[in-house]
Amino acid sequence: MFKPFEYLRPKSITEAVELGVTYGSEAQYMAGGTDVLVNLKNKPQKALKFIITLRYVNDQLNYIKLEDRYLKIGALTTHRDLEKSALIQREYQVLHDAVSQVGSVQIRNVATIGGNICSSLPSADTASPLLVLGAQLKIMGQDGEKVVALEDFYLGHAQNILNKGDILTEIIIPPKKSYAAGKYYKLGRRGAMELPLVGAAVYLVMDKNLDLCLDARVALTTAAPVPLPAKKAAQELVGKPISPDNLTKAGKIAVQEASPRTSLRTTAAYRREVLPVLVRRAGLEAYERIKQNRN
Amino acid sequence: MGERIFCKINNVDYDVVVNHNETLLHLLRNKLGLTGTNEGCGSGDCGACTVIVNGKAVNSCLYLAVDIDGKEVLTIEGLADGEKLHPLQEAFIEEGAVQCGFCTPGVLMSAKALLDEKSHPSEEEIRKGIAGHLCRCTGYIKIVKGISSAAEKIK
Ligand SMILES: Cc1cc2nc3c(=O)[nH]c(=O)nc-3n(C[C@H](O)[C@H](O)[C@H](O)COP(=O)(O)OP(=O)(O)OC[C@H]3O[C@@H](n4cnc5c(N)ncnc54)[C@H](O)[C@@H]3O)c2cc1C
Ligand code: FES
Ligand code: FES
Repeated sequence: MFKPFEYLRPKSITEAVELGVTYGSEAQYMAGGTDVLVNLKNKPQKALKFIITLRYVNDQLNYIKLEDRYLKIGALTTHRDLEKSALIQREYQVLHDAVSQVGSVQIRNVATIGGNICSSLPSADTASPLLVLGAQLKIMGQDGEKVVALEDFYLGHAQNILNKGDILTEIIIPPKKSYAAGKYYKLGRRGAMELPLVGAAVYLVMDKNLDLCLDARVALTTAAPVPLPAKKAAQELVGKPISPDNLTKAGKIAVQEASPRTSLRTTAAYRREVLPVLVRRAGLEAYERIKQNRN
Repeated sequence: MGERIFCKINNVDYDVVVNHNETLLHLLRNKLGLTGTNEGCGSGDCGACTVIVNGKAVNSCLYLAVDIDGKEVLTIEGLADGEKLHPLQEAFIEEGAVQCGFCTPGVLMSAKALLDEKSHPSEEEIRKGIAGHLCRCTGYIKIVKGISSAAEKIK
């Protein structure tokens, strides 16, 4: 049993937005509830009186589809549905790396990608892959709909730009480039059921001969108060061939951009030590994938 | 706040009143007397509370009871066919995959959901399928063996 609350079950997005606006800080949205309910158990907030579930608007926000080459994911899509999607497996491997490693099957069966983003923790597994894919978020609020870049969404640890009543409805990934792929590396202790100690995603776009890197993106997990795009590190890779040396160099730059802290799970020093290794490995693997996908 | 819901648990129709802040785990154990489903951590980490809702394995400690309105739930009590054990249960006994038994009902439900989805999972797939369970006794190897040998039998 949790601390008492009233459970509100809007049937449409508009109704959900209205309830969110009306009840403000007395209410919280819930999708899969794997963060909401654990928080309710461990550190219940006094003010919380209403939980507004999005489960009953699920039908409208549960999809994975390509539209004009843009990938569109409904915010209520579960990690498990993404993990099983042939499209994600084949074309968006860097995202598949993340969704297939969130918690356990039981968690993935209920936890949503939208919830992962909206919790806005630096440890969220989908964040770095979505950052390197250049994801945009569609948000519905009382003044209508807007689209923002994921990297402009986070404001700090567990903080984002959502206003009262705002609902994340869709994640949009721009068209895939040729000769491009990414890899997300998550470092943990037991390979299941845990948040990453630290993680890195690298996405590379190569020229036709795979000799030169035309564009690169690097993002880091649990390396700063927010999921962090490491732009200087990415810049370091552009215009050069992909090599272990170049990737290590980029990894070292990434560490300078990061500000990892010591937490319950591990120390800042350890995080700094392994980040360049993860960037190198992720980069080499992304490059391998580009080669494989070409063949 | 109380609310009346209708659901099917282990193929039996239920008409019960639940509170909004009540978990499915609480409903099963404390109101319906279905105590086969265990509570370990209460926060999604151990898998002892795993049941199947509409075909999917979920942690009943992180699932609100009101949300099973109109749904079908399968718990460990519904796995055997009367006195006849399910092949998974038999295989677990044969392989010695049960010691204290605390984790077992949850593991069996994940194994059932896994085999329903894929009749012949690889060892890797079995390991991923039960990654959400902690067992302090068996060391997992026997559990993995139990599941693959059950898969053979179910054929
Ligand atoms: C045992 C366990 C293991 C876990 N392992 C991992 C892991 O390996 N990696 C990882 O990244 N996470 C992990 N998590 C955390 C959690 O499961 C994920 O962050 C998950 O994606 C959250 O999704 P949810 O649908 O359950 O969110 P909820 O708990 O329902 O919501 C999370 C937050 O987002 C808000 N919200 C949800 N949807 C919307 C929306 N559409 N619009 C606006 N606000 C919204 C809610 O108000 C809440 O603040 C784990 C959790 C548990 C309990
Ligand atoms: S009691 Fe539900 S996962 Fe541990
Ligand atoms: S048999 Fe004892 S916990 Fe698994």
